[in-house]
Amino acid sequence: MTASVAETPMAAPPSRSRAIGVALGSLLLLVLPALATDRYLETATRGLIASLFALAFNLLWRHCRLLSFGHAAYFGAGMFATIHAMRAAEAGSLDLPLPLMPLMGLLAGAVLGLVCGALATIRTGTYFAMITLAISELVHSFGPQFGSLFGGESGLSAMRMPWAGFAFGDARQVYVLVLAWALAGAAALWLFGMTPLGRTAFAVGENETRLRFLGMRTHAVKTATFCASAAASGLAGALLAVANENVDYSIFGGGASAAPVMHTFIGGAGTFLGPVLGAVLLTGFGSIVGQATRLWLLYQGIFFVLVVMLAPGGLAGLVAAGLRRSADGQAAKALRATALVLAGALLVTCAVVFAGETLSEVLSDAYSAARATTGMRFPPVERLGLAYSPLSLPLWAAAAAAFLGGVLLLRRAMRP
Amino acid sequence: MDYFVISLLNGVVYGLLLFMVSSGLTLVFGMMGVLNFAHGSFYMIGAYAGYAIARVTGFWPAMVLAPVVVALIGAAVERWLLEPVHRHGHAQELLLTFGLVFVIEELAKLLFGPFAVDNPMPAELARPALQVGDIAFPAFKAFIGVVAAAMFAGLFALLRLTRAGLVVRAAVHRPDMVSALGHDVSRVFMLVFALGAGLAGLAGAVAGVFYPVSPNMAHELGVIVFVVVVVGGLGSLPGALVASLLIGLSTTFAVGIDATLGDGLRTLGLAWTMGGIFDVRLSSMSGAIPFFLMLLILLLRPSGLLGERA
Amino acid sequence: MPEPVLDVAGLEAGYGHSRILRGVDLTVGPGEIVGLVGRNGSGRSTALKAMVGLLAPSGGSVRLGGREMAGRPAHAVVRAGLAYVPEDRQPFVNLTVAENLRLGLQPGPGRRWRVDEMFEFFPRLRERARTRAGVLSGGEQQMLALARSLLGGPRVILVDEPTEGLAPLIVARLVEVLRTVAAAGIGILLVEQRLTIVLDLATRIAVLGHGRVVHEGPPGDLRGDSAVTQRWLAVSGH
Repeated sequence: MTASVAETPMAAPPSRSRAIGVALGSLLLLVLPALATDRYLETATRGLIASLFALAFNLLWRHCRLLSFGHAAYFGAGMFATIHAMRAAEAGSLDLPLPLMPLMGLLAGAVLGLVCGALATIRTGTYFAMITLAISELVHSFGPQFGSLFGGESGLSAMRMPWAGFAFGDARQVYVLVLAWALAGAAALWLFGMTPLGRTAFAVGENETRLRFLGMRTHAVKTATFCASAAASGLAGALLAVANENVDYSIFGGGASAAPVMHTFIGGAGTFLGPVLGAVLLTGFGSIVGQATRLWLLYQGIFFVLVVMLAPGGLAGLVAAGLRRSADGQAAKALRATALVLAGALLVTCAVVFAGETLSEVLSDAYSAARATTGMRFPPVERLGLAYSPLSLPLWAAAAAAFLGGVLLLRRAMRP
Repeated sequence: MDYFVISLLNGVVYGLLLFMVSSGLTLVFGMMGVLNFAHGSFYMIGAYAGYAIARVTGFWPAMVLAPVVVALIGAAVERWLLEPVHRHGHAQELLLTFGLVFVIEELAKLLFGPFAVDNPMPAELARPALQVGDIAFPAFKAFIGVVAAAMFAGLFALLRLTRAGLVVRAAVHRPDMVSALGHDVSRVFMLVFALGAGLAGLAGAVAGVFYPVSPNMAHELGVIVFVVVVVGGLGSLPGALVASLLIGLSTTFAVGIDATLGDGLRTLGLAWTMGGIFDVRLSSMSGAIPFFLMLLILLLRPSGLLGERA
Repeated sequence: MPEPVLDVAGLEAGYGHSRILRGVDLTVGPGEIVGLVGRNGSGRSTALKAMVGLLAPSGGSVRLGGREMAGRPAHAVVRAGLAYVPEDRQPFVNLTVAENLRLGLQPGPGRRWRVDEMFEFFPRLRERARTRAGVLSGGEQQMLALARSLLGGPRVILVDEPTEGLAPLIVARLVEVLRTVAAAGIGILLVEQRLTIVLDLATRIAVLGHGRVVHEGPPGDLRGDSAVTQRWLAVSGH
């Protein structure tokens, strides 16, 4: 599959900005436990896990140009392996300290990834994507069958066992544990690119036929990369098992596989940390916005579609392009493009949210009740303290105009 | 014996239903190189459209209108969403259709709620169509079978007997050359995409008569349809038909077989008391059969049963 | 000299980052057979693709009968009267010869050829009318490709290496047909490796080098070991 130029590994922001960004980010991560409340720490924990999962997914794409739409299988395998280990530790039959539990998930992901990867990488491109999807569905279909393994509908639970004086009962300690493993996992994935295997994997992504003619066993390389990606996914799953203390087979469903895909490509698949940007933003937004509306997943999906259509390099790609422009002395252009993007995004968001929330309200049970009590066919909708009629033509026309105008602005901003 | 005949009929109907949906997918992929992940979503839109329109016009007009609505939506998706992304590469197209699956699913939840809708079956189809011994074969299943067969005949006629069909058959393999003969291939692409969507929508409208219409529909059937096209060979209509029937029949027959793998081994004289996978009944694993078939094809004949592209 | 049917000026095109054509100028008049020659990789096939619109040119103009065609999609260019016969012939292998020909039948601005006229040019095709194009020999596929494109009623036809790998008898037939077509007033831009064909058939030659037309003149300029042949076509040297 050909990739657009914006997605090549070379499209990174200037290294000074990148170093500053990474340093600031790491600093923030480290001081977070002191600053944030439990609720934010829990969200940050989930953000770290999602970031690791997205990085694992992107390993396959960045190196081998392979899109796996079924990574939930390895994430879930890691979750279940870890929960079983935790249960065994709880029962006293396994003497593994909690901080080392995630290793079980890593191993489970690696083993499953080796087997499935060997099969899936027989084909490339679209076929590969379909096969990974089918494999994860296959695993999903096993869920209800093996009760002892997957715990049926209610799933399995385990408690975090104390170790070395740490009780691991509160969000703070869990956060630190997850942070340590997530950083280790991310570092390992980064270093993978430096190994001979990693470098060969890059080459496989660029021109596999050429390598095969040179005698390289590209299938082995792809399988090994898949295995590494699955292992990291299993590790991420393990961390979620530790954090949630619970797992059930719904983790093998489509939603969990979609998350790393969306995070990676919204964040930007061309840079190493792009997926982290996407994962952090979307987990954070999801946590906040998810409280206010039940349409969060819809908005996320629309956002993803718009990014795929208008900004193939993702948000990181946009930022990188802007930084490159200002470094090139075209700061004014960069600022103008940024302003256009923000304005366009704002317009589109307002339009979509207006349409979504109004529809959602009109179709809700509460609204039907209001219809009955007030006797009106279309009583006013109340949002943010304002009341308006859902049939108001000017409002809908304005929303349509805002949407189209926003899309036009965004397209204008994306032009080089 | 009765069981065999009924299972045969059921399996054929299910297979034909799969074919209705997968035919569009395999045509579109063969022609445009695009795998539309959201193809299963068109099936679901068809089911919901059938349900919604039937509430206004009654059942039979809805069966005609729903596929048209889905075809129009398909044309819009191709023209406004897919076509602009085409130049960024196959990966971007895949991602776009992947994203569409979620958007469409969430829209379905928004408009119709997260649970299955109460879709009443019309009186004409609630009767049994024929009796095989003790078992009655329902009319609605016969209806699905008839519609699918008619669709297959219509598609065949369209492709073989019309000039437009000729253009499509040529464009499946060499779109550039077709363009170099003066035909507007991008318009043909859009029409084929719309046709594929319409067929999936027809399948959805027809299936929605009996099977539950819920936001999960797209996902459940969508993956099986992928398996069908991989097994049959991407781009091959006959392959899709063979694979659909194969999967339809094997899944249906398996549902009725309560034996386990352990039982099978026992009949061969190998006593096996280990639990786990050997104690799982074939009937409960019937959902996994398509995937095993796919893995088999992958290992033995990667281009699919009747596929041409390597 | 009559008004050229095809007028290419400053045509630029390439693939990705590589620029192959850097400003190609050439014309084809009605009934002219212009031979386009040059080394392998000089961009001859690229030039044809850019003219017909299968490759989007990055600069320059392509005028067909006075109307600007550069940047327009291929099907529009072909409808306007520019036919294209590619190097690999591109038969629709799963369709019969008759079906292949049907696909080419379009109402074009030039002379309206009929299918039976094509069968007269190539009797072999009449015999094989119901055969699947995939089992035809190379020569038959070339005849099919040429006939198919002619049925579109073009005013100019771009032909890319028609005689490649074909037996002398078939080559002779093709040369005869091309001459007949030109005599009917259709312009032909012929990309050819075999200089003997060019010398025999062309009324004018254009030599492609460094992405431009570096020499234009009568076919005799390519005879034997001429300076032009040495400089732009010989294997060793530049």
